Amino acid sequence: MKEQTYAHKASISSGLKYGFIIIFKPFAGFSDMKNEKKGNIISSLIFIFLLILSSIIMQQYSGFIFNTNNVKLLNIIDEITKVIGPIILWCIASWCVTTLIDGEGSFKDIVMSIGYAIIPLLLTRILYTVLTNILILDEGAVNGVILSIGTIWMGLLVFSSTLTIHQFSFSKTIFAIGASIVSIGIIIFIGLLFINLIEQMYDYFYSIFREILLRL
Amino acid sequence: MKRKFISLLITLIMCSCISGNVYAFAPYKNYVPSYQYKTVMGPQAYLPSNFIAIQQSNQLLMPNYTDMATDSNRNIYIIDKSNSILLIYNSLYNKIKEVKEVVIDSKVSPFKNPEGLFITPDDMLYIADTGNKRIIELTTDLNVKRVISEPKSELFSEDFVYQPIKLAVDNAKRIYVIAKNENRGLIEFDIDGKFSSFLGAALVTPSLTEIIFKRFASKEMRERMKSFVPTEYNSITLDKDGFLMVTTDSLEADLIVGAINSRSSDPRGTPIRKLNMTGVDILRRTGFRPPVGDVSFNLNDGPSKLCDIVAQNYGIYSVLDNKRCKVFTYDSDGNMLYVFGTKGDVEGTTRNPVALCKFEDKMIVLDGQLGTITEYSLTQYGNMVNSLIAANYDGKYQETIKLSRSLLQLNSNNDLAYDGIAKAAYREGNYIDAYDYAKLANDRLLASKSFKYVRKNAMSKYIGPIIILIFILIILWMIFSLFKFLKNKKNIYNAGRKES
Repeated sequence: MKEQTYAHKASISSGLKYGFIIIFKPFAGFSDMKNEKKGNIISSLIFIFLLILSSIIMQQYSGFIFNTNNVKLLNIIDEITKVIGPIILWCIASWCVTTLIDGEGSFKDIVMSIGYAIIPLLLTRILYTVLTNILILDEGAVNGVILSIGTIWMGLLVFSSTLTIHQFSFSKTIFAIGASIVSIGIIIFIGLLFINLIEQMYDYFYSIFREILLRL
Repeated sequence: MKRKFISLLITLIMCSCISGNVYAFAPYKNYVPSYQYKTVMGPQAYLPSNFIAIQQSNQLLMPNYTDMATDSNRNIYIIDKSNSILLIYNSLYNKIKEVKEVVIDSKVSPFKNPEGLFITPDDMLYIADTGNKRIIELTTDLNVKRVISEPKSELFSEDFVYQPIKLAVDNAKRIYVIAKNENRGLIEFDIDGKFSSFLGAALVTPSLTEIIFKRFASKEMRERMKSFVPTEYNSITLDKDGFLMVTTDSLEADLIVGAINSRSSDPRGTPIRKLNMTGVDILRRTGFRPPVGDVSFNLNDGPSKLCDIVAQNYGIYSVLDNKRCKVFTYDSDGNMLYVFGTKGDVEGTTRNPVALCKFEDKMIVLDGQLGTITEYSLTQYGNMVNSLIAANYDGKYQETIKLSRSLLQLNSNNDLAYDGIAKAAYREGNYIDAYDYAKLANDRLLASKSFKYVRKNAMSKYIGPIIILIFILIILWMIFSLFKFLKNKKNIYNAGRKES
C-alpha cells in the first residue's frame, strides 16, 4: 500500500523543482530523496550539465574588468573535464569509502545527491557573471564573497547528503569525507602511474615493431 | 673574358650592397609584453647604425672596459679597468685623449683599476678609482678638483676593504657609491665628501618556511645559513627628477620568475629600483609584467642579468642585459616600450655589453671584452613611441590621440597606443570610448574607472522611465486586485444568497 503511494513516476520537471527544495532544507530533502524517491537521476544530471554551461558562461561572459581569461581561446572539452572530472572522482571515491564503512547509500544516491549539491555553485556562478558586468573594480570584493558563498554552501550540502543518505553519525561523516578526499588523491596517482606505464610499454613494443620492420 | 666581366660586375654589385652604415634590417627582433601572451612582435625601434673598435696606443693587457659616460659636449669617456686608462672620444668617434694619471696636489698619481665613471649635467667628471680606494672629482679639462677618500665610520668593520665600483652624484653634490662586497646599500657622502649614511638597502624578507626552519635549526646550522643577505647593486644613475635608479643582478632566479608569472609589483622580485632620498623604492610597476628584462626565456638560462641603467626624459628608462645582450626600455609606469640588441658576432650585436649611454637620439653600447662601441639609431617607430609617452606625460590629449592612431597603423599590437587613446578619451569625458579602448589595451583599472561613469550616465538616463514604469505597474496591480476583490465579494454575496 505504502509502495503504491510513493511509486508515482517523478517527472523531470518535478525533479528539477525538488532541487530547489533540497538546497534550502538539505537534511529533510536528502532523506526524502533516498527514502521517498523524490527527485530523479535525470534531473540531477541536468544540473551537472547546467553547471558545465554556467562555468563556460562565467569564463566567456563575465565582465571585462574582472575577466582575466583569454576569451578568444576556449576549449569546451577542457571546460567539461574541469567540471565532470572532479564530480566523477568524488562519486567513485565516496562510493568506495562509504561502502567500506557500511554506508547505506547506493552509487545512484551519491550521483543524485552530488547533482543536487552543486546547485548553489551553479546559481552563484550565474549571479557572478551578471554582477561582474555591473560592478567596478572597487566593488569587486562582492564578487569574491558570492563565489565563496556558493562553494561553502555546496560543501555544506555535500556534508549533509553524505550524512543522510548513508545514515552516518557526525564524526563518521567527517571521516568519510576526509577519506574520500585522500582516495581521490590515490586514484589520481594510480591513474597517472598507469598512463605512464602504458606509454612506456607502447614505446617498447613500438620500438620492437620498428626493429623487426627494419630487419625484414 | 665575358664570364670574367660578369663575375666582376656581380662582385661590384654585391660590394655596393654591403657598404654603407645604415641597415634596413637588424639581427634581432623587437617585442613588447602583451596581456594574454607573454610577448608580441613589433616593428624595430632602434637599428644598428655605427660600429667602432676602441684602440689604445700602447696596450699592455687584454682590455676590460667597465664603464662609459658622455658629457654635454658629446664627448664619450670610457674606462679600461685592466690597463687603468681613461679614453676620451669625441662625438664623431675619434679618439681625443688617453689619460693614465692625474695631477693631485702637484703630484702625478696614476689610476689603479678604476671601474666607475659619472658625469654630472654641469660637466664634472667623477671617477671611481677602485684600486686606490678613492673617488676623483675632475673638470672635463682633467683638472682635479678634489679627492674623496675612504669613508670613515664605526659602521665599517676593520677587515672591510673599500672598493668603489659605480657612483652617481645628485644636484646637491651628494655622492652615492656602490662598493664591492657592501650589501647595506649605497654609501652616501655629503657635499664635503664625508660619509653620511647608507641608503636603500634592498629588502630581505625570508619566506615562512625559512623562518620556521630557522627556529628549529641548530646553532651550527644557523651559522652556516648566514649567507642570507640583501642583494648588492651593480649600477646606478640619476633620473631627470633627481631620483636614484639602481639595478641588481644578484636576485634569485625563482624570485624573478615568480614576479613575472604573478604579474606582481612587489619590489623584491624586480631588479630595477628607483630610490627616493630616504632610500625607499618608488618605481611604478603597473605594466602587464614587471620590469625585469626578458619575460619569456628558457628556464635553464635564467632571467636577464641587468648591468646598466640609463634614465631618459619623461620617466623613460633603459636597462642593459648582460646575459642576452639586449636593451630594454620602459616608461614611467613600467610598461615595456621596445627592446633591441642580441648576442652575436655580427654588427649590431655584442658579446659582453657592460655599459649603455644615451647619445642624443642614439644609444651606444660598450662591449667590455671586444672593446667595441655599437651605436643604435632611433627609427620612426621608436620616435613615435617616445613622443607618445611624452605627449601623455605632458597631458596633451589631442596629440596623444593623433600619435596613437598613427602608431596603430605601424603596429596594431601596441597596447600603449590603445591606452593612450583611452586615457585621452577619459580625460575629455568620453567615457564610452575610454571603456572600449581600455578594453583593447587590456587596462582593467582604466576600464573600471571609465565604466563607473558609463554606469552612472546610463543610470541617470534610464532611472526616470524605470521608476515611472514601476509606478504604473503598481497602480495597474492595485486596480486589478481591486477588481478581483469586488468580483469575489460579489461571488460570496451571490453564493450567500443562493444558500439562503
